Amino acid sequence: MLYPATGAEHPQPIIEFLYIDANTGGSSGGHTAVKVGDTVYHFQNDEGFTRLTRENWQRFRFVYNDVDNRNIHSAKVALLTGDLQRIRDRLSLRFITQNRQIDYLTALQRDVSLLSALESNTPVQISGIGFFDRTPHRTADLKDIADAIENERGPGHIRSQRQHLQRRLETLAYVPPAEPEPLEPDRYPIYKPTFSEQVEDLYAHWFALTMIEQGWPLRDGILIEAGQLEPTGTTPESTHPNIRWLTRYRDQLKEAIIQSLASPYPGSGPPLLLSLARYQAISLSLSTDKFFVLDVLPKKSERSPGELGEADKVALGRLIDQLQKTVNDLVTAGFHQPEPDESIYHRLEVAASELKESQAGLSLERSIHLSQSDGPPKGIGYAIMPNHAIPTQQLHRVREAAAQRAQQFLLQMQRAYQYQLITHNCVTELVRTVNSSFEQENETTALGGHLDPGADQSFIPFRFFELVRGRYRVTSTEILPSQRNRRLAQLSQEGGSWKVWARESNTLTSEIYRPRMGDSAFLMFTEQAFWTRPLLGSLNFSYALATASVGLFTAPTDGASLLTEGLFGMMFSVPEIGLWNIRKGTFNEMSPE
Amino acid sequence: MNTIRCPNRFTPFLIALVMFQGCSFSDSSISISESVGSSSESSASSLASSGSSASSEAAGLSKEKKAYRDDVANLTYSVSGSSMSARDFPNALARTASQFKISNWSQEKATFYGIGKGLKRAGIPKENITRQPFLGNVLTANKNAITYIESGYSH
Repeated sequence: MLYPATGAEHPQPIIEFLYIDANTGGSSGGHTAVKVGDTVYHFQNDEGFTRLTRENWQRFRFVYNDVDNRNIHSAKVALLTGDLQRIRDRLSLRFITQNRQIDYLTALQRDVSLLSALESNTPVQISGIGFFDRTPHRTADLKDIADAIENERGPGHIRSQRQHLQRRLETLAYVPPAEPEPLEPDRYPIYKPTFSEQVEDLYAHWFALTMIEQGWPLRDGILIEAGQLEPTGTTPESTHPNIRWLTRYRDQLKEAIIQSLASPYPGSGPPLLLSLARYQAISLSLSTDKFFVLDVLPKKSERSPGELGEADKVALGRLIDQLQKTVNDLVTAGFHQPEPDESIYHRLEVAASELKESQAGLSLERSIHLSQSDGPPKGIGYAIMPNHAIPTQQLHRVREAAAQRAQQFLLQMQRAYQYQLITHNCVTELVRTVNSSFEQENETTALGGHLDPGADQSFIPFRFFELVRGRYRVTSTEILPSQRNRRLAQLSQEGGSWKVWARESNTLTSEIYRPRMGDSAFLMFTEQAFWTRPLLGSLNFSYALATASVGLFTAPTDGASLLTEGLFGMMFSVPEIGLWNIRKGTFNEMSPE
Repeated sequence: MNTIRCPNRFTPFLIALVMFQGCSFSDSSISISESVGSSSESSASSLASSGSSASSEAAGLSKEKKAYRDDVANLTYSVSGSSMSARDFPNALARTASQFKISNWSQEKATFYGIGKGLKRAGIPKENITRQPFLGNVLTANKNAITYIESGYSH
């Protein structure tokens, strides 16, 4: 069988097996992943489940290599194109299948909380309604949608449909979901919408029709101005590309809104409300010649508290410059494509939101939180559900039944995906998934060798990587040094003197590294040292012991954080005394590099 | 070639370490700028291939859209011939699209290219595409649905 040679005219089909060095925090035993193109797949212990995660390479490297300060070791294996596609397809199918199963578990658990809310008559969380202010007659932007619906479906349609939805919402009864079939990791499951999903959809559609009929506007403070719609310095035209793009995108949204209201499908409620929110934002943009986009970051109350340290201000300033550039690039050149693309619009929403949050953080000297939730913008809001189908005296019993269903499915998930240190961890599941891409052990031909999940101590990430290098058809290996190692190498290239090395050898004088909570208390870096590691480890142990002793006294005032750092410092010093290094220090997200 | 120091005599010690804290890892506590830490395509120049006017798939999709198309293809392949209903398939598409922060799957050509690709992989003859029960609502969701699906089927 012929495998493409290195240096061929076309890119070589390659799968990369990655081993990520150990460090403090999670995965102190190291971690493994596979890289296919720009995509990385790896299994994580997510609340007890071995969960397949997918990330783009740049983000993965940023998290593990830069922030987490771990070396990443890569072993490239040449494959036939068809074999690479088999592995890619298997990983993709397992990813979407498992996500659907986890979504279903979440939905069953939401049934319980919804029934509790109905019992206590308290508000429930509904995606999409948080974008809006429920004040009537504050916007005329939705009038053309109302006109289009009534022209097509007849006058009074919106009101009658709204009343119909309200009746359905009031009379929707809880029906226990059917017993799910056994879980299969590689077959997309079919689940009927749960009670909470049905309620959310009905409410979202009712909310949308009421908004269209009554002219509910976007809530105050949700829009961000991202720049001029016609930036200066561009070639004068009768209609600027940005305006053409936004006009077309608004037309697309209008079409999607009308279609969703006419033919709703399970899960169509929250996307409908997002479309309506964007529709209003774009209408405002077109009427004011300014880009207005939704703030897609969590509300202030949902953000982490904390003060901004002095040293972070410079880095935050750089981040703001970078975000400002991204916003400017998008505004000046991002919307020149002939067809609208939701992804581009969303990028502007994200960049503008992050810029606003970063600027607020700098001016108010508070920490910032830029991470947003998975999926499209959520627009979480709360409302009391007008559901009277279940008599109050029965609600408790129905809630118990729903809780039992959720528990049953949780147990089913645990049986299928329970994380187990040796038999079902990040390595064993990766090997199982890759092997399952091929029938009748054809992976031996495809990869050049065979690995049994967990056999030959391959459940240990480091050992697994050794076996990959020994058994698979590895064409090359590479080490991507951690952030600290890259910066030490830079100092070395600049002819760093012994004074520089002495300065960087410990946490007290290092200019590259600043101690962080969670890194554990330590004094000396031991990654580069080998024969002196036991001595340095002993020093670290003593330092951590001293820290823990002080922490005993400060525990009542600092929540025992210093004590914890000291105890963990002692624990991570023990391997160093035995010649093994785990701890390397970590960096924050706005690290100087 | 770089090598890693791991004498076999350390293996028992390694096992002990793994016993302590396996390979569990969660980055949920890390807040990262999407525009800085995760997306290689945040600059406008890299957006060039993400929006094409041509209806043929050969006209090009961005890397991100190709990944989305492939997920849809795998979804379609998996549910072809199953009891998935015309009402439930849009829900499955919406969930898949949501992973890519796409809220309107019916406006994305990549959705239909992916369906075509998945049907081909499942061995559905091209002339039977419109007869698949689970595609009932999808075919009416976009006026060019069948054209795009056939394009995805052919590539």
